[in-house]
Amino acid sequence: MRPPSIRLSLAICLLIPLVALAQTGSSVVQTLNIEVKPITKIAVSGNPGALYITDASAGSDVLSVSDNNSNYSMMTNLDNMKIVASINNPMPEGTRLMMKLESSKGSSNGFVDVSSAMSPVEVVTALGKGSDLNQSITYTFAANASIGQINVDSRVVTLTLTN
Amino acid sequence: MKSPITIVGVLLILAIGAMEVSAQNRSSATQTVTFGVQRSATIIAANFQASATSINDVSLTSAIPLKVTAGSDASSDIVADLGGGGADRSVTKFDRGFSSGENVYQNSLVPRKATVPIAMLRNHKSSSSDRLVITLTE
Repeated sequence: MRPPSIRLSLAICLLIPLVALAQTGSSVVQTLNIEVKPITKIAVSGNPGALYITDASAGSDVLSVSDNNSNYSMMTNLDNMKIVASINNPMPEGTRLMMKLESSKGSSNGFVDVSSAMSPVEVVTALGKGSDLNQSITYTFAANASIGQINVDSRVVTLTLTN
Repeated sequence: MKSPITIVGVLLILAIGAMEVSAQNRSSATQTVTFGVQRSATIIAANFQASATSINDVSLTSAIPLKVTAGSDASSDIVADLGGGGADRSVTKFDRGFSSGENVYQNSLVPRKATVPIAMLRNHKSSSSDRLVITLTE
């Protein structure tokens, strides 16, 4: 008569291969849907400083003042993008508003006159994939010497990252 | 046969989808630009006065619109050209009005030039004590 411990050991040895066979036959399947959509984002740090002409050099035909205290950041996963600018209302007669956007990812058009840019004008072109952070925006406000006092006024400039 | 309502619904969904794709390809940000032209205390303080004796010319330079006032203490007529022959040229005769101001000449158009040359054209009885005084003020 064999002891119970020996019979139990034999039974376990017989069952182990069955468990192993059952584990190799189990699987599950999942389908992942992956898509990268076109992404274009542009943001500005805030408004530029006030552009007040308060002084001039003797003999100068044009009075001007500049501000470069604001900047923009952009990101896109598309090629051949550009930044265009438009203004909500034309500038007063005898004055001009020009702006320049720096760009490390594209080609800046330098100072662009947006005084009457009701339709968007290009300020940065040839933007490729990637991001451009904290690029400076410079505004120059100029008035002819013949212009008298102009009360404080404002315009809304819209920057659009587009293709 | 699909009903017209179904077809319209499908077209509407496709249109909305196209708008979404288009919207993803552009992004905008706005800035408010504030501006103005103000006369500063510096410019107001830059009021200018020059005097010419005999037939010496005086050339004044002003970057902002200013009012030209001229007068003379000459003992006889003085003719001066304010504006240097430009559109706002004005040849004016001054005589003995300097102290009383009765012949003081004011031309609000002349200052709308960056440079205002002023020439004394003729002094019938020129003497070293005769003066043509040009004053620029706001």
